[in-house]
Amino acid sequence: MSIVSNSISSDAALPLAAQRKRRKLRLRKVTFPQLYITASLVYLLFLLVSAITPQLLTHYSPTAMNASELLQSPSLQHWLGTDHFGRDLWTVLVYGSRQSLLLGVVSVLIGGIAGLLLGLVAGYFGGIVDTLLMRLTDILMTIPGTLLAIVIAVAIGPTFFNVILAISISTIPSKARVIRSTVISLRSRMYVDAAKAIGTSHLQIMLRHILPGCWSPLLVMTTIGVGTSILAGTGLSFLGLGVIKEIPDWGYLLSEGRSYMTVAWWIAAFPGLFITLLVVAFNLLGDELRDRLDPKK
Amino acid sequence: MKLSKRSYQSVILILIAIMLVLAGCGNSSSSSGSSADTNSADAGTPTAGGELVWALAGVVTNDILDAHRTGFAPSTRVMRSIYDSLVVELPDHTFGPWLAESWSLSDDKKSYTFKLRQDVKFHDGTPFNAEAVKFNFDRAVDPATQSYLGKNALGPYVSTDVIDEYTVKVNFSSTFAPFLSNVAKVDLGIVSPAAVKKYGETFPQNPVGTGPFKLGKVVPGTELDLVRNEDYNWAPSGSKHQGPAYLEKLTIKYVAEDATRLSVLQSGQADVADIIPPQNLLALRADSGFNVQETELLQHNYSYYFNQNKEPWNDINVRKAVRAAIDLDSAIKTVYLGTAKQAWSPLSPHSLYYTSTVENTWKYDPDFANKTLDELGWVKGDDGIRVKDGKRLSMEFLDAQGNREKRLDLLAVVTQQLKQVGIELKLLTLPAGTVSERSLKGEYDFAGSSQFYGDPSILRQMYSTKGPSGVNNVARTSDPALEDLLEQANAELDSSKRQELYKKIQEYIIENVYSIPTYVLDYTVASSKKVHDITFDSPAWPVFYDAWIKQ
Repeated sequence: MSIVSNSISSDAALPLAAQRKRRKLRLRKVTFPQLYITASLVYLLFLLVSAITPQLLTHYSPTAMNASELLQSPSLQHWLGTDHFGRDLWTVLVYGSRQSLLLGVVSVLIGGIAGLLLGLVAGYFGGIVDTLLMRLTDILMTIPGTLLAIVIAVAIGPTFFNVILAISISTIPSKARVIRSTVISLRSRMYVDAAKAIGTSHLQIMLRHILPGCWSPLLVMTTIGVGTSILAGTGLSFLGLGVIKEIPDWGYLLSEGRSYMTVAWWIAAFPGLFITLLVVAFNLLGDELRDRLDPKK
Repeated sequence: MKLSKRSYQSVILILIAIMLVLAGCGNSSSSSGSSADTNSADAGTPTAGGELVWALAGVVTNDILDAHRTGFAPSTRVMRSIYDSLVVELPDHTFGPWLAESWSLSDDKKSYTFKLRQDVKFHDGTPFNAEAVKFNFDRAVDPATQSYLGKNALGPYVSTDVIDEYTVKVNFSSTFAPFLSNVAKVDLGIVSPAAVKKYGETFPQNPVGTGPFKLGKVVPGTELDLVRNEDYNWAPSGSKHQGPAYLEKLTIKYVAEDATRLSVLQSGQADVADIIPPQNLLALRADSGFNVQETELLQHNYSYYFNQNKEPWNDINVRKAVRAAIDLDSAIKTVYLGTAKQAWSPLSPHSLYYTSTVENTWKYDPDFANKTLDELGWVKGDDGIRVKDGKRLSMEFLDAQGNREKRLDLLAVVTQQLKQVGIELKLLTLPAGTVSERSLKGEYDFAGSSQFYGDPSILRQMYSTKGPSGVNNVARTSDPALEDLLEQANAELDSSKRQELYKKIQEYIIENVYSIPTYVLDYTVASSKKVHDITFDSPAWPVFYDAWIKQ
């Protein structure tokens, strides 16, 4: 929908006949994939706005508890109803998006950088370094990611940073693996040999000649990874291993709402929906990125 | 990671399915029935036989079915059916015979002599006698048993003398008022000496008592079956019948998850479920298909404590200000949806030693809180939190138990209320080991705790350096005047004098804000209409001896 209306306004300067013609063309061009990519972008934009300036999207306070408005079903006043403290659920979700997004983005950045370094070094040098590093990731890989995150969160205690750390660590192995295989295919290229021949240092080769080739797989992985990381983070909160803040994150809200399912389904349903949409959106975008960055196409 | 086009479609289909399921849940909830009498109505003559399935709120790890060893509430609830006690505490707080036919106090009031029943056998066929009682009490105080509640329950225990086959004399070094109440609890339930010797370290997995039910099949982490003890003929006084229990089998399924426990009950997979969360309690009370029994748990009510070893909580004025800043009435109404009352004393209102003189002795008064803190030099900083000499008025609260009884929800409301007057409360969720370590070191400001215990001597544990927790009592209270009262009350055998002492003690605790009592807990049991006559022991655990199922 938004594509269509945007195109009309931007084409306002064109003569009417031409406009109509273009509009027809555009309409035909709007395919299912474009629609869901746009929808994903719109949803993420909405989350970005709510994470940065939540007060634009609601006039309620996320911490105002109201004993006279407990467990109210969705209404015009409270779009998504109220929770078990009488807080406006929409407001709590909007304010809670900051923590979820922050967790996803930061943990993906940490995991991505660590995975990149590991993969780069292992793939470039090969031999004993490769063997050692890859066996290390093998060990990490034998433990399922979520379980690893749970173990770390339990062992070092659930502060926000620890949760991020736990999730980052659990995502390192897969990233390191992919980067390593990319690096291996790159390091045998002619231009790398040429660089070696003129005496360029290892560091220079890695940074100048190999790293650029790793960006596109890394970008795809991190985009999809944001969704998975947020899911892992909400999962930890759900299990009671997250950080309980004044403004609950989505996972904690979902977990709290679960016990109210039979009397107030909306407390669990909407955080669940927000999380699902977020993960789907990031996955769709990641997939689209992969298609676009694929050199074979 | 890669999703094909087809998987998108399936994702969307799954989403739609989830929405439909959710919509379904919404509908079913609103249709719960009309008002009904929730008390067990006259149901006619009991019929023997049948299996009762109990969805237990909690998980009994099967290594803790040792009466003397565990204080873990879910285990205690299960063990009540396996182990009998020497005496029974009746609802009016008098004591009746059970495994002991009669008892008497010595002239110096330091020894109890019990005449035992002569027809009692353990589940393993060995006889119950004076030697068995001696074995049990000696075992409870033996450090090797690692008993906590059982050992405390015996207080100044010295020894047990076997007078003859069915007479024992239990000796204490001083008069010990809580003894009969304590000996009536499962913590001092009678275990089989032969079984303890036979199983040794594995006895907790192979519990043998004299109770109306004995251990059947155990599926670790999932369920536990108790089967009827056919020889049983020594029911406590106050029971509605004699002989074996009516139920052939009691299947206990561990369903720790609130919502699941409810649906297991409502779908008929279980006949009984306990600890019903407030939001469902309201619906169940109104549902004609179920009986709801609510019994006040005799205990030290869940209370907030200040760590008085730390500044500024050693100042009574600060403690008073914090208490005045908390609107407990509104917080409890919000969190428990009107199903729980506000507590005014550390003791449960149904306790024989409760005093109503502490009721309404303080109130929610944010102006008083603000004024007091202003006068003490705590000024609001830029973020709204008060500061004095560069130190923020901030409290750390350690938690390892999660949202049990909605305590974290209560704390969330309290946090907001405290913020209004410029006090910050920070909840730290930590692993249980870290919490007890930090608690021992005194690295906390504010704490919450409850302790189920029928006898008021629990106050000695919570507020005295002479109690079992010693200088590590949770409020770090060290007040000689209070300790003196607590020692007196612990030794006072005259009930009315003891009541007078505990009245003073409760008033003293509230006056000095050594704790802030929060809510009164009702232990709730919901059962299907065909189940009758579930009764409760002291402090409030369910007894299935008289229970029967209408065929």
